[in-house]
This record gives sequence, C-alpha cells and structure tokens, in this order.
Amino acid sequence: MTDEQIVQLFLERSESAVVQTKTKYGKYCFSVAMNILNNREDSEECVNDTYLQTWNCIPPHHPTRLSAFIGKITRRLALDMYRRKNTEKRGGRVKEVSEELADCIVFSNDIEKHIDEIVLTEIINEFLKQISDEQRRIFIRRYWYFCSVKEIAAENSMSQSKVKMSLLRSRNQLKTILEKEYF
Amino acid sequence: MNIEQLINSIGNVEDEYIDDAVPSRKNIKSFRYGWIAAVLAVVFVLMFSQTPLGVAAFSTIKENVIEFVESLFPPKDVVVYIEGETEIMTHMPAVQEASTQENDELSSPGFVIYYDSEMYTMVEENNVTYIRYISGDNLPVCEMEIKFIPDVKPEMLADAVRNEMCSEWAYVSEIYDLYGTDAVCFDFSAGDEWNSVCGKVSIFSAGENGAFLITARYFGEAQEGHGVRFAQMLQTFEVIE
Repeated sequence: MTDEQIVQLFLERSESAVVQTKTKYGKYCFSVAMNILNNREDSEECVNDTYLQTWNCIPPHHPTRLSAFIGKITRRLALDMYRRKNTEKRGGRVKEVSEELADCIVFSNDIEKHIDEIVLTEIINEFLKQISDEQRRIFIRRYWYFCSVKEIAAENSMSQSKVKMSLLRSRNQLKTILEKEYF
Repeated sequence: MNIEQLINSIGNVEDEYIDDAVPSRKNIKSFRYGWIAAVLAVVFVLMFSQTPLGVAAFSTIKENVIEFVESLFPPKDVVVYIEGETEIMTHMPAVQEASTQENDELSSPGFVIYYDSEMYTMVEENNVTYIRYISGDNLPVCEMEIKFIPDVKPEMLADAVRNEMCSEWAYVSEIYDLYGTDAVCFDFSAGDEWNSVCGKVSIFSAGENGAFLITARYFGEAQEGHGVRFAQMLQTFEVIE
C-alpha cells in the first residue's frame, strides 16, 4: 500500500490505517526506537505510542512522506522516554552521540539568550543542503538514526575510519556555521 | 544552546534527508554475502596451504610478488601543469612491499606511488621512504617522506599531527579532503620568504592496520614546481594489501 493510500485511511478514520502502518513501517519505527533506548520492551511501547500519536495527528496533518513523519514521531517519543527513564546506564547510543555533538555546541556570553529550535533546525537544514549526498547520509544515519559507526560503514561499503572522518568534518563545518550565526 | 536542543533540532530536518538516508536492503544483503564468500575463500586457502602442492605454490607466488605487482603498475605518462606549461613525463612506479615482523605479523602494508625518476630518487632510511629531488645546487631540500603509522585512525592522526605542528610552524591550514583521493591533508609554512620551508601533510588510510603519513617538503619559490609535482604523485599513491 502506498503512503498516500495509508494517509487516506487515517483521514477516513479507518482502523486499518494503523494495521497498514504497522505492516509497512513497524520494523522501521522499532529500529529507530531501539537505537535510542536499547531495550526491547521500551522500544515496543514507543512504537505503539507512535501509532496513537500518528492517529491523533492525521488529520490535521497530511504528510507527503509518511516514513519521515512517523520516524520523527518515534524518534521524539524515544528520546523523551530515554530522558525520563535516564537509561544512560543501560547503554544505547544517545550518550556517545551526545558526546560527539558536544563539539558543535556554541556558547554565547548572553546566558539568557533564547535559543529557538526552529531557527536552529533551519540552520541545520541549510548546512545539510551544502554538503555532499554521501556526507549528509552519514550525518543523518549517525545523528538522526543513532546508528553505530560500524553499521554506517557496512551500509555504505566503506571503512569505519572514513565514516569517522566524514562525521568529524561535518561537526567542524556545522560548528563553524553555528558560530557565525550566534556571534 | 545545549545538546538536547541540538539533538531535537536535528530531529526536525527535512523529510527527504531522512528518507534518503535509509539504506537500500540490496546493498546490505550483498555486503553480507560478500563476507560469507570471503570467509569460505580464506578457509579454502588455509587448507590448501598445508598440502605439499600448496607449500610449493605459495613459495613460487611469494618469489614473484614484486614482479607480479609491478606488472599491475606499468610506467605511465603523466600530464603535469608546471608554472603555466604542460609537461608530459613518463613516471615509474615505486612499489614498496609489505613488511612483516619475525612472528609473521604485518608491520607495514605495501604501497605504490608513481614519480618522475629523472628528477627524483627514492630511498629508504630507517623504515621511512623518501622521494627526493636530485639536486646539484644549494637550494633547500625538496622531498616527500612516506611513513607508516600503525594502529591509528587517520582522523586522529591528522588532528594529532596538525596540533603538534601548529606550535612549530607560522601557518598551518585546516584539514581538508585531498582532491581525487580518500585521503585528508593540510598545508604548512614557515613564512612568506622565497626560501621559507613549506609543504603539505597527507594521511591515507591503511584500513585496520593504521595509516600512511606523507609529508611533502619544499620551499616557497618551489610551490609551483615541486609542490605541483608532489601533488601529482599523491594522486597515484595506493595502499597494497
């Protein structure tokens, strides 16, 4: 079933919308959640919450890319659950990804300066538009999907050191852009 | 700004970037089957090498390795643009075979690099390879140093070498991709005089074994000459596993 057909089922408030979504994107959502939570039960709970949130969001939303729409919901729910349960000690990649992204953090002298996440997203989109397809793919797999360096290397048939080098360059470039915007 | 905001913001990037990053299942499957085939091939070779026929065969292959590799890398004509002029020079391959320790563990992978043997000579000193300009005058030395650094990731080596050089050299550039290769590099210089030493550090990955650190040194006036020739040589550098 196409994304458009599944979205139509949501708009018609048909219960088979959730069944079709589960069939098409169940594993995808589970892998997104698992990379963050590193726990089967929590990931399954997160995926079930995703279906509920998707049901509540469509309508009014009418996504054109259902996979990305659902993926974002799953990612957000998984991160919220991670932060709530403080699952650092269990493993998962949020801690190591956070440590990598710490390179990009720009500190302003004005500690009360409000950081608008919408503006930050626009800056990141602009950065992603500038880099090559391969570099962008690696960046998203690591910092959106929380995949391991080993998995990313296997997916792209390249060495782990090449992946790490690509991520290092991306972080340095992103930091330069963020410094320009915030200073 | 904090990490949480950055991670949240990355979560909201354009949908097409998220979808484009999903790997194709075909690539993952073929990669898995490739590993299975590689393991089976290694098992077969190990079993074959224990037979008398296998021992003789491997001995012959070992003796002819250099000749075999050199047949894969014949001399080639290379176009070089020097100071506005186009030169076509025949470059010879310099093949450095892998070296092993007494316990047969790999101590350094091999490599091949093409260079103009009429202008440069290749020497090995203390396990470091030098491609050096054959000069009869009193100008500063122009050479390329090729060194293998074991058990190090290229990105870490690049950062470490660059950080060390920042305190010693007047100018050190940011790390950038070496055009036409998978390597990274950065430039350095002692000053703006005609005879100030300057050059380029390039790091090539040698896989899990380590990385090759290649330092090309020349002087300011020679950037358009030796600098360009060394850059051309770097394009031909290849690690032989």
